[in-house]
Amino acid sequence: MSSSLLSIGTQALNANQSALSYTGQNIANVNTEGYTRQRVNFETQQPPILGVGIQDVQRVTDQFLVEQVWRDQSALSSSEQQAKKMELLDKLMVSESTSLSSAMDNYFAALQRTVDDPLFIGNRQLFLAEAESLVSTFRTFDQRLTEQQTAITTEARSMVGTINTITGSIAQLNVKISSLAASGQNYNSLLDDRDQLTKELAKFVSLDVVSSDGGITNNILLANGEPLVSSGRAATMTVRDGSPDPAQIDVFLQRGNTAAKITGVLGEGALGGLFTYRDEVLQPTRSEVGRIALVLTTTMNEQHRKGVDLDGRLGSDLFSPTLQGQVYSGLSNKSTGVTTNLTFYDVTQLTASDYEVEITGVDSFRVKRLTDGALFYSRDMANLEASESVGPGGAFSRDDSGNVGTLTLSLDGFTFTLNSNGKPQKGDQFLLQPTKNAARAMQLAITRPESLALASPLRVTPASSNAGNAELLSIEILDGSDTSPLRPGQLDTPIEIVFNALNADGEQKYSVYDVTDPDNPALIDGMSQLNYTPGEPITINTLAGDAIYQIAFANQPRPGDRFMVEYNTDGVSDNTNALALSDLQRAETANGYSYQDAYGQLLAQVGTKANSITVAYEAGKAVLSASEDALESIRGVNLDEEAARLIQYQQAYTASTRLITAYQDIFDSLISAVR
Amino acid sequence: MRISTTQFYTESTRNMLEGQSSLAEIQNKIASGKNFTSLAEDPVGASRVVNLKRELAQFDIFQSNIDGTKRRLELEETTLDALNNATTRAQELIIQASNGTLSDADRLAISYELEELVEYSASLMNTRDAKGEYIFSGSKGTTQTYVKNADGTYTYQGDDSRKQIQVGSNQYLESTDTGQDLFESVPGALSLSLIGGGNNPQLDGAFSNLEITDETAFSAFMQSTGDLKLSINEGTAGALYYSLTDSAGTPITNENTGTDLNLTSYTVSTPATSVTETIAVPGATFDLALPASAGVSEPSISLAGDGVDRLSTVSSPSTNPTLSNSQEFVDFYASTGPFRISVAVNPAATTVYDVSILGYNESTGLYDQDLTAALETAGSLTIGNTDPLTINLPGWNLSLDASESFEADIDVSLEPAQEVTLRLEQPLSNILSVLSNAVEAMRTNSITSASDRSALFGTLAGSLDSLAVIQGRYSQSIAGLGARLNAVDSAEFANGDFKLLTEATLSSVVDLDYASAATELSKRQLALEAAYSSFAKIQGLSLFNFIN
Repeated sequence: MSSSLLSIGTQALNANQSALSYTGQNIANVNTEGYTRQRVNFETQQPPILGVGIQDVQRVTDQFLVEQVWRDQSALSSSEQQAKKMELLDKLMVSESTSLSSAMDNYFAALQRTVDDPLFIGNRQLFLAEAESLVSTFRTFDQRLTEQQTAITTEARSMVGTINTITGSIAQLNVKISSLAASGQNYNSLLDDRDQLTKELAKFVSLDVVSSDGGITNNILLANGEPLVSSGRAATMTVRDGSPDPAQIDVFLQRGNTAAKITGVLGEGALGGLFTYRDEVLQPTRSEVGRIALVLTTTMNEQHRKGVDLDGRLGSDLFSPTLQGQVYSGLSNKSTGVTTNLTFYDVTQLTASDYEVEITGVDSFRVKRLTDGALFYSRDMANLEASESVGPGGAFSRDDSGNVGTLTLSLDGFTFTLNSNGKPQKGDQFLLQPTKNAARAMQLAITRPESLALASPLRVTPASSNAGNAELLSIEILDGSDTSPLRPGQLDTPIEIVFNALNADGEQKYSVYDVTDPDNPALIDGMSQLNYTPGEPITINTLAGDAIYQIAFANQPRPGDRFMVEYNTDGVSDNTNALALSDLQRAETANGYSYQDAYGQLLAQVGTKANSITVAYEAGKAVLSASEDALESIRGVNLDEEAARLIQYQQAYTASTRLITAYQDIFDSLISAVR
Repeated sequence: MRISTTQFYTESTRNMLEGQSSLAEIQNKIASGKNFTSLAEDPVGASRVVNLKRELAQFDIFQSNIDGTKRRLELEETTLDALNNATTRAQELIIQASNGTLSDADRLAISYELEELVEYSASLMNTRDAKGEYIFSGSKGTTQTYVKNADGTYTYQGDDSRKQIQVGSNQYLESTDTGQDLFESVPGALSLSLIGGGNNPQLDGAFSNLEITDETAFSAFMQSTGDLKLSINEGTAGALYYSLTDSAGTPITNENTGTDLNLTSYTVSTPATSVTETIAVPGATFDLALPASAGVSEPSISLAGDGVDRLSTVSSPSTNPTLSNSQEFVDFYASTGPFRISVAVNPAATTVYDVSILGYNESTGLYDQDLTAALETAGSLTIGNTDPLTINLPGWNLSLDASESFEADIDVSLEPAQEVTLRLEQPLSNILSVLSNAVEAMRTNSITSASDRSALFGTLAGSLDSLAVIQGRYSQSIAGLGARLNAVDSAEFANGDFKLLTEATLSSVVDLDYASAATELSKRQLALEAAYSSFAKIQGLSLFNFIN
């Protein structure tokens, strides 16, 4: 009697009842996040049995769209993370109180006031105050960037913790689902849970999902194929201090006993976005700000040392000089007895890049400039000792005499010195950061306003009987270092430049005399009857032949015209050096640009990046909502639809009950007919 | 396309949220008045703003520099005007004092007023600005400009450096003037002074009796020759020669004798005294006392090398290594330049004494030009092949110990003589000293004789001449000041124009266009309201409402 009305009716009742309950399930879960509507599929019983059965409970979804949503979510999270971090940098650069350009404007404005009146102590004090403010603006800027770096590290760690939790749950779900599938039960809601978890994970990293058993077990892979979750096992992500720079943390994936570095393959997603921001925006900005600070302090110091302060002494450093950059040795380096040094030979050639030096052989090495990936090989470099200046390709020299071998490399404005026992081992790596920490180390070295060296150390006095119209064009001090002969006590020699009669060829000549004893001028060696060209600098040397300063005259003198050059004693109102310092504002000192132009370029770069991130963020939002809409339109519960189905199954249920009633009637009729 | 119920709600919510945030953004812009508040909104604009602000800051600086300079120049102008007036009054007083009918007492009275004027002028020249800096002292701002000496004259204490300030992006102006330039304007008497050669006592006071017959011709002469150089050479047997050249080395012609003064001989009559020679040059004559010995005016030989030890001190202690006739040697040296005497003594060899003279080759830096043969042929080089080895060169004989074999070199170079220079000087004086002298003259009591009178009037006339020169310089300076003030003014105008342009550009980049912003505001407001009302209308639609 398997196909009797009763059995048909009972089957129909059961089928419709479960259809109704699943409809109820859909309606109840209309607001559940990530819920995929389930549809009951009926099928007729196999002949000769009549009736209806439930084929399956279908989870109405489109796996392609699901994965599309995951991908779009990763992209959006990456842009979102970068945009959020970018806001800080944006505000720092735009706001008047933190902008480096406004601080420099104020600094140079105060400097110009000292140009106008260098004797007035008030002007000097104001300038020192503005210089202090400039220093603190640079340091604050750098500090905020460093704080952001620390925040990134903290966030990365917490993200990695969250990722580990999620991958663990996904692995457990894999196990549960396969056990449920094995026992034939409905695991649709677990699938929903797993998809939700995967979407959460996609917010952090880019991922690929591969399933070998038709969706029961989902293996989750990173962008480069490293498995995060393989069936029931989840790999652990860890955060470690970076090498060679410990502050640049790296993310590792632990599988069993091996750990692979995955920082570069995180792809998109918030974690990837963090690192992208750190490496493409934050670190380069710090380096660039450091470079501007370094160039500013070094050029200001050099010029300041060429002037004389109110006490009549040659100027010392205005800012504490940044003498060294940062060098990190690779953690797996094998050389012993290593000491390193990173100094500067020409700050105007510095770039804002970090450099990687790798020893590639017994006597060869390779330098990589990290901003543009340019490579410099030792075989192409000039010999440092032989050449006077360093070309764009760099120069190096090696000194292996003695127990400690020294490698000296000069490139792009810096000099890297590596001392090691014997020669450095092949494979050793060093990370050079010439400018990164310069802004942090900035400090004003002068506190007394009288110590500002604003006057020229030399005074030029034309003789009162001069008849020509030659006049002083410029004086340039060549040597402002600590060993300069202009430092007190080392050079008291006043000199006199005397123009002679025209010689037989009609050429104007001049001679230079030492007039320490005005009644007995002594002709200086090698400075007799030299050719005079208006505008051409005359170099004055010490007895040893080192050039101290250069002086240039314009126009034509008459024979017998003389100019005396002596130390500028009591010349307290002179503003020549103040003017020279102030002219540095326009000088192209930072690799072809002035300080504020370099800052403007940085601003434009950061701004363009911020703009494109914002655009990407907005676009990402639109793209994600489009794909989510597409997905929802397939799997989302529509209450109207469910309401209609409710009616539909209710009617079918009622009709099914009528089958049983009909059967009962038939049975009753049969029984009463037989009595 | 099928829509799920949640989708409807999420989309509507999203639209409303976006509408709200865009409305808030435009409201923020209107409230702040700025086109953009972050770099991301307009990176190009932000970078331009930085540049424009920098330019504006610089214009402000230039303006304050211009203001400072104007104040300073105007103060100078006022001071110079007052000085000019004082000078005019001084002129009147001196003219009055030149009146022959005045008595001593009258002149005394005038002298008091003149003295007051001097002190008044001195105080004007010592003007200090508001911060206490002396404005006419050049770069010595804390040093008083003029200081009175014991004899009533005034000396300028400052220097000749002028301050430059920046008034435009490539425009610099001098903002100060020095007392040297403005007040040291009275030329004193032309004089020649002898400097150098101080170690030869016989040259002290060697120069005297400068008489200038034609000042113009004489200044012109001195301006074409520069400093005159005197050099003394000693020849054989103490014969003395002197040369007087201009600063290029060309000898001067003594117009008295018509000869070029190049190695002109002179004789010293009594030992240890000098000879005076009268030299005539265009426009002047002067006496030159020529010393009895050359002393340091003579060039000397400098020897180096290992052969110096070999110089014999036994046989010719007095001649090694001095010149016997510096004039001859100087001539000889002029043709050879620095040279090396290379000596090899080997008693066992065929040529016992081997001497060669090697000239210095500048291009190679070595002594490799063999001059021996040429000099021997010319008779300049004589070698005595004995012990001690004598080598005779024009004006210099040396002998070397040749008792044993050796090889040695002696490098010879000529130390130039210490220059003796005759320099033209014309010290400048200032009005204060001139007037002080006039005061002194007026106070001379008892003008009785005609010579006293003419002396007094001569001094006063000289003072009037100086005053005329001084006033000429004042007018020149005031005119110059006026020109500079004009330049400052035009710089100010130009800066003002540039600043206006820059501000306009900055405003166009930064400031909000209120018209379009207000329109945008109402547009977004409408959109938000539409979102609200459409949500309200649609949200109530559900099939469940119609099924009972």
